Amino acid sequence: MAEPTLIQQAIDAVRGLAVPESHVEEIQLLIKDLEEAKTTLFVRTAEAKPMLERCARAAEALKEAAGAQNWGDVAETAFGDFERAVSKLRNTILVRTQRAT
Amino acid sequence: MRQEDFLKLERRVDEVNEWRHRPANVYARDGLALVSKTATTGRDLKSAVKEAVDLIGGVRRALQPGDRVLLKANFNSDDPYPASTDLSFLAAAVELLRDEGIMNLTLGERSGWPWMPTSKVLKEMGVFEAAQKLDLPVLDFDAGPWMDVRLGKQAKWWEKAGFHKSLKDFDKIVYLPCMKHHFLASFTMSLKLTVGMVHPVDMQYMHADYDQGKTDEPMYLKMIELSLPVGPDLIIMDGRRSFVTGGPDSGEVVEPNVILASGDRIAIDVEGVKILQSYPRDNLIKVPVWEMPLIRRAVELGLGAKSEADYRVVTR
Repeated sequence: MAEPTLIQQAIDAVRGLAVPESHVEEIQLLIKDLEEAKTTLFVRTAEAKPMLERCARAAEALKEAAGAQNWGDVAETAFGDFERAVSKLRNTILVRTQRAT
Repeated sequence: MRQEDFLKLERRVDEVNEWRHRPANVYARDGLALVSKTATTGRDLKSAVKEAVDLIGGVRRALQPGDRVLLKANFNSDDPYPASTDLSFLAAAVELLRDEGIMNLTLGERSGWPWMPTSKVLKEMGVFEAAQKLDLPVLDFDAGPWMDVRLGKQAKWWEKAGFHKSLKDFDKIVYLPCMKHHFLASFTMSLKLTVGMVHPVDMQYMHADYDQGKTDEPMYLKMIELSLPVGPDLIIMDGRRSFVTGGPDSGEVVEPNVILASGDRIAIDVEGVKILQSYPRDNLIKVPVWEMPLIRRAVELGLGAKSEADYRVVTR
């Protein structure tokens, strides 16, 4: 069984982060994606575990990068990694639950 | 793409027509469609692809210099091969066609809607970079323009479906499918590849069997009717690696290490399914291939071989 708390760790890491204006809406949506993912059975499966771990790692990396004085290339890359990690989780849940292919 | 964004997509079409691209299968001998199988183990990929096509008669049997050729690969998601087309396979196919003088090539694609926008998938998969090196134009089907094509009297589920309008601009179409199990459609090879040329909004209707609870409208039976107006001139299928469970985005990977080629969608998919069946798993392809509803409907629709007697497998 995967650790549901990994999602919460990811949410907690990025919630309230100062991001550039251009990313504000997207990070809110990514947090919403994670909140919605929390309610699915999928996140409790073994298949989900590596995806959740990736989300948690990417969130921590983004938190660290965003904590630097200026938002730079490192933070931008970290944001992209976080976005990809959450997208992978979201898409997999969509495919499994909505049967969308 | 988030579901709420997908549901907001607009469906605009420029025209309604009865466009068809259903070439006769020129890859036949003595009245039998040909399907080649070529092993890839321990050899150069391009030579395997060439051998597969040469075994059925060669590139020039279907394609001529000057033809405007659409390549339809399988960049359904941003997951690695065999979920999506391997770039080295795409390059091998492009180089083979160019070696035969077929220079006017374009790659066209629309990814599965959860992974759209397609441009994002293509970027993640390195397709734009690879295409630039190959001097291969890429056509992103997401934005249209679209045409509604009447599917005709054979279609039970559709009166018309949206196809990318640029399809009219091509003389020939080459399908470059992966060979894999599909958790919903049973398998995805050449017969399902057509979906990636269809309007994304039509996917809402195609998938209504599940997300709208319309269990009497199986997705795969709607899907197969999309093949009525369009078919490939040549199919080259990458069966080096395959999913035998799950799919289309992830699953258990096996390595059949084979390239198949044909001009017949049913024959090549039947052979592909038989290869996957040689790896027994708890999956959706545990029934005799000709009894699979998708294949039976494809036969009814006249999309290719009707039985084993209609085609011949050729190997070296």
